[in-house]
Amino acid sequence: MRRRTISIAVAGLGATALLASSCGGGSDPEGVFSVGISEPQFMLPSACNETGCAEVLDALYLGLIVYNPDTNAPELSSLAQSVESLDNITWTIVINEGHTFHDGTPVTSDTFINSWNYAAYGPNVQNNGYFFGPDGIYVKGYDDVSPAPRDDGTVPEPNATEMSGLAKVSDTEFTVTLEKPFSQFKTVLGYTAFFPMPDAAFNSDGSLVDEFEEAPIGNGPYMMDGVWDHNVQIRTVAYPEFAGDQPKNNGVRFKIYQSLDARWADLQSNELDVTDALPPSALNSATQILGDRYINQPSSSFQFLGFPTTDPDYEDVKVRRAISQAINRLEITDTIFSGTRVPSTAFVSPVVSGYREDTCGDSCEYDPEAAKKLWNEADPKPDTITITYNNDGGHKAWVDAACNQIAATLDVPCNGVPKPSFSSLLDDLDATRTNPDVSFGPFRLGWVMDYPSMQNFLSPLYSTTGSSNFYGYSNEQFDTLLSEGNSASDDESAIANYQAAEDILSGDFPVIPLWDANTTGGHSTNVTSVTIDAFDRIDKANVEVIG
Amino acid sequence: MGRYIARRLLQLIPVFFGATFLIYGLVFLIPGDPVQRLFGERQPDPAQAARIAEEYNLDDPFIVQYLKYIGGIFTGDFGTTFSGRDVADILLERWPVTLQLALTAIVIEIIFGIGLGLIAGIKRGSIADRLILIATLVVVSIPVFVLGIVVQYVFGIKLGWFPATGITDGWPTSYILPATVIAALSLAYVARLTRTSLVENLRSDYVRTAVAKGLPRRRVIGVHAFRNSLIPVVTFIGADFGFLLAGAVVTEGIFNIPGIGNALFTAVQLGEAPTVVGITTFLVVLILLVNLLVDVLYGVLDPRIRYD
Repeated sequence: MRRRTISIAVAGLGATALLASSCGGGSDPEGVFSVGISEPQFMLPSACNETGCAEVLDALYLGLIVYNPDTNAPELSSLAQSVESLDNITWTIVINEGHTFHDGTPVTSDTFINSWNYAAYGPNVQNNGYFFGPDGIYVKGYDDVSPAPRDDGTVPEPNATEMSGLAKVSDTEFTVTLEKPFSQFKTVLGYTAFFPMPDAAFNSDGSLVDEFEEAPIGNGPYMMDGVWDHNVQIRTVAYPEFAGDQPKNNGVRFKIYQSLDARWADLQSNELDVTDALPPSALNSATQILGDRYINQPSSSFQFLGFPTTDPDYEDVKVRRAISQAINRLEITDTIFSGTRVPSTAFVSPVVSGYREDTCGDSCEYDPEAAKKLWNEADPKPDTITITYNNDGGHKAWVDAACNQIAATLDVPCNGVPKPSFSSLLDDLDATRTNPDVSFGPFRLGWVMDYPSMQNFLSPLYSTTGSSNFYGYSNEQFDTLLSEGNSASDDESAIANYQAAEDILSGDFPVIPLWDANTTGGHSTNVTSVTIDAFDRIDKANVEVIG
Repeated sequence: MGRYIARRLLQLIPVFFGATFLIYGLVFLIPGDPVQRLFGERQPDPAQAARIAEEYNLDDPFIVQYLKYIGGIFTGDFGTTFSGRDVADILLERWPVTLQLALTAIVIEIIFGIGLGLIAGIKRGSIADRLILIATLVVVSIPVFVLGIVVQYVFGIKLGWFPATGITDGWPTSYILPATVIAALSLAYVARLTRTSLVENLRSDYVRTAVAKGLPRRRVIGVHAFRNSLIPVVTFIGADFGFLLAGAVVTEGIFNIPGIGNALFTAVQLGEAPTVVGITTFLVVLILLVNLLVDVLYGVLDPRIRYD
């Protein structure tokens, strides 16, 4: 009897094993290397807004603009012949002939127009649709295809399916007319949202073809090899007909990981070739284990503390400055983050052009005496300081450290308040807005750019309608300078305006800049020439496979 | 027997509704706006947020959401994830992986657990017995995640005998390390349980009778003592199945196994009720079925046990 029970169990296992064996082996074919990513949410340029899908789409697609690896300045890709405008309102885009999608169809102005209209059309519920609206390039006619919600929260039906601002001139030329001048247009175009999608992606009624995301057809240097094996891997091979420079390798296998720890384990055993992120637990030992295969370089991630402007306890700028000067940033970045973060001295990230050091001035420097003096002068001020953070992002250690420094310097109780998630933090913040008696105090925030421009920090973080201005900061003069920068005729005067706007921030001091996070990663002994850009994207085409 | 099983199966119906209702309710109670959770630390475009809320009935009151969900299930629609995939697909993709892992673990647990228990029980007081007792004590004292990380480091990274993560090498290569980690704790219990139970039965009257009437030792131990000793062990393994699946959640994370663990974790974080309910309800039903199987097995192992 016992024997029979066991043999049944073994037979069951055998059957499931047969099912699993169709997954195929784990080793890479000649010239193919692996890149660690998290499971993508969407595999569509119009919907992808996280790093996992961005890495894959960057391999499968080619946009009009690429960024200079050293300066992050926008440059024309091999797909674009010119992107020009006289008034920053009407932009003429000419594409090079010869570029094809992986199904052989040519990349034309129609494919761009259709893809962009699909992304912007409200009922398609595409996450990147807003890039064509007021928070992005603001194409003429956007409000017709994606009307803003009514006051009761419902959304009106759109009265057009296509943006009137997109007009075809010929198969290789089209114009984009904007609602208002936008000097950063070219810079924004490098974002995932602006990749062209082939006709094969859409049904005749304009909806997306079912299962297109399972095996996207792009126009980039790599094409899909099979379908997306969810939570396991995405295989790509070099696209032989690619009209740009051929990659120096035969393909990329994107290995999907649930945790950074698992990536780290695979990197150490040479099972994974490149990763653009390491778990906090590995930071201490990574330099030693990886040697010159360790990557630690600036990224655009900017971390800071925000204050709800509705809280009277923090209304006095001296309170905010005192707290800022009480924090020893260098000590925290060195001990807690093992040098993978750099103390911030400005309100934007150092990777964008127009960045200046020390715009924050003395306020971002650790100076216990000055801090104590400011604190004593300040009125009103809080009896206790709480720093609120989301508990799901590994923030506890530094918040507690900062609190200890603040408490020791200012002689005021300080403690960290964890919230289960960032969205619950925002819920509680909203609740205090309607109840001014409750003090919420500073809370942690971070920002990673979508495109390398000062504007992509200043506008979402500090403008009155900014998409990540959770603290309610509003300064008319700042908003005016920002929109002047947006409509400036050339980059230089745009940056001058943005810098003037940033100077206002140093005076108002609405947030406490803390540090800029680095990208930490590494590669195996199988590959060389690995570089990572400021978007945490690996330069896949230039990786050489030696193992 | 047939009526007994039918009655037990009928009990699944109220359990199904109770479990789905409770779990859906719990997901509903997770603090924070679900649309905001999707966008992490950025604020979604208001029009986009309103459209997502409408598409997933997020603005409806709880009971309406729940009824819409249950209504969908009866038409074969298990709901969709926030990235637009059918939850049914997710279940079909994830459950086989976790089940393979759990079954592999159970087989390891049965073979080594009972085997070691048998050796220790028969040779009570010997060096082998002492070693097995000490070894199982050590295993019982180590938390699963510590064991997981150590085993991964030694056999996956340093020695390279097995893949450190993933399932791309297929069964059994990819599953042996994680299954061993999951099985380790229960294996120790099973070994100790088998040993104690066997030692006790070897002293009982019917075994003495069997020895007295001249049966060979193999038969005395194999048929008379061992089979009876299995009853508490089978009870334990049955009850342990749920624990194995729960342990699989931690171990899946360490070894990057795309089973239910990670799916559940991300779905809870996002407040993706259909996914959470789909996975957990299946888990509940599975545990009930395994318990039924265990109850039926009692009758097979010990003919004195009857059902009515």
